Amino acid sequence: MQPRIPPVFGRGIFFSNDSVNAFPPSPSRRDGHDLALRILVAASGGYALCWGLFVFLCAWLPYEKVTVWYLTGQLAPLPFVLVLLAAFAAGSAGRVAAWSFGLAGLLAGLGSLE
Amino acid sequence: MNALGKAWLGLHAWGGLLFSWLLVPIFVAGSLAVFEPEIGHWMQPEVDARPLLPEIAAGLAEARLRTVGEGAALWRVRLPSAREPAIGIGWGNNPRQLNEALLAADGQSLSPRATHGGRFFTDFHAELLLGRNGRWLIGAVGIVMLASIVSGIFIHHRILRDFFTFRPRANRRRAWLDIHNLLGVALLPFLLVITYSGVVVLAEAFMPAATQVLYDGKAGGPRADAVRAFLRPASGQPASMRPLAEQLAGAEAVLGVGKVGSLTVRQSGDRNATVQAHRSVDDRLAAVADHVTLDAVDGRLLAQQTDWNPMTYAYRAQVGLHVVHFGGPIMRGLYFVCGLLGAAMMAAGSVIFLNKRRQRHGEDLLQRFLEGCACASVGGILLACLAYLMSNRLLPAILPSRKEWEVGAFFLAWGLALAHALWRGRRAWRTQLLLAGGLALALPGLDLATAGGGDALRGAVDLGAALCGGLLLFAGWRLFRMEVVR
Repeated sequence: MQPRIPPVFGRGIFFSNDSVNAFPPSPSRRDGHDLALRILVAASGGYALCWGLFVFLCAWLPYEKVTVWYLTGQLAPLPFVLVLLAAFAAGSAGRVAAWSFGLAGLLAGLGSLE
Repeated sequence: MNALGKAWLGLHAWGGLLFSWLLVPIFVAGSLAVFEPEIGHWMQPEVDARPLLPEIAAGLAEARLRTVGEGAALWRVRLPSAREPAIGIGWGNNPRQLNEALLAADGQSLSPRATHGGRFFTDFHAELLLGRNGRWLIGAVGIVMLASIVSGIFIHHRILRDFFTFRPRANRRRAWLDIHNLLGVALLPFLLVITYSGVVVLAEAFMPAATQVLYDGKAGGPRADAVRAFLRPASGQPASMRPLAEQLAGAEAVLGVGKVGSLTVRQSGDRNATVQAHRSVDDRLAAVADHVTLDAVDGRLLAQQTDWNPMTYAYRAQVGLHVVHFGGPIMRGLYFVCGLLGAAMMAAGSVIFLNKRRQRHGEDLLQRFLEGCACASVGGILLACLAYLMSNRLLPAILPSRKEWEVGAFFLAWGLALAHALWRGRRAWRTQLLLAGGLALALPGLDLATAGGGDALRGAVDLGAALCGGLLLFAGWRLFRMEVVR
């Protein structure tokens, strides 16, 4: 079964298997709203997930403060890139928003238990 | 193309195009910033490049500081190196606002022309001269770049075959894609490392969660924990300081002969005065400066830090990977070339996108706008950098707000290039690349004509400019014979 391609840049897009010819058309007005939503989810969801992850790690990692701080600094790009890619690969932006904000809330909640 | 590649095509194409308007200038400025000290030296031709022994330099700096920095709480000495041949001194009470001067090999203060030097390219690369807002923006751009790299791997999935494919003559429509793929694949490790480490360097600015949780929002907290500084208050009792050259020898006993990069004297003239020596970081991957603190009066070793928290060291290794102080001129040259090729890879991607869009939508107003911005981000930034360097030679050496005039020349040239690109459309590519090549080739001549014979450092910058100029002329002549941008 072929995975469904999300309609990020319009319906009936001509996709070629040859990357020379593959080209995403300009988004229509309706698709533009969906695109704006995905961008918003990518930015805010990535930020929320990164914040939640950091709160969790700061609370639960059994190392001295300076070790945890420098570790989190090196992990910072990962949640952002993950959510950004997910926002443009998922069937709907709402699903990504639910996952990223839900996970961020869960991690921050677990972090605040410490 | 697999399903994920199709899903990310829009992100890769549109995101790549729009963000390349900033990414290409950031990569070009970053490539130049690799040679920040060398460019800084080139931009101050009044500075002599004669080699000087560190102990002699320390003696000359101390003699000068005793004159100009009498009573100052802090003295700072940057010892000369192969990359920065002049002695740098600073003095004052506020470490962030020291009076600064450069000394010649005879110990006299130099009065070179005022300029931001190579530091301008570093600041533009790191924060677009916008301070904290700029760091946020660059961080966001870096994240999109990382996502573009990952999505690009899925889109151009025949990665190994693409790597060995370049058909400049067989099929010109495919040539730009071949260039984009070839550079993208060859540079993949460099692009991943440089982009990831760049975002890590900026993470503190846009993601303060750990600082909030661990240090109650105090930005200096992590550094204070990582760096063991030895500070003691002034006693109020006067005492004479041992000569700085002797203190240098004491520091070298711990840090290595010839390895001390800078000296900091606190509370000079007081019984509790200290001398802190920092090791240079040009022979190690991690940008961490070991340091020792000596009693300035009797030379006793008070404290030292040559071991580091492992995670701090790993973090600073990423910083070191990004700022490339290690590896000598060959490694810096490699970074320079890879950075410019990375910019060329993005420029080729823009051309692919714009050509395909033109085939579908023709020459509409949006197409003209996109073409203009893409051209100005490539040809325009090259012209702007050259205008900055040339203004250094063409503006009078003594001019009020001279530094700002140089920066003004940079943005004026960039603005003019954008206006030209919007006016001429895709035909501007050829003009701007050829003009940039011609100006880069003319730079050594301008240097010789306005500043006379130079030293090896200035000669190296001139040679680099001439080589880049030749390559740009070749690119303007050869690549743009391809029908896709005619």
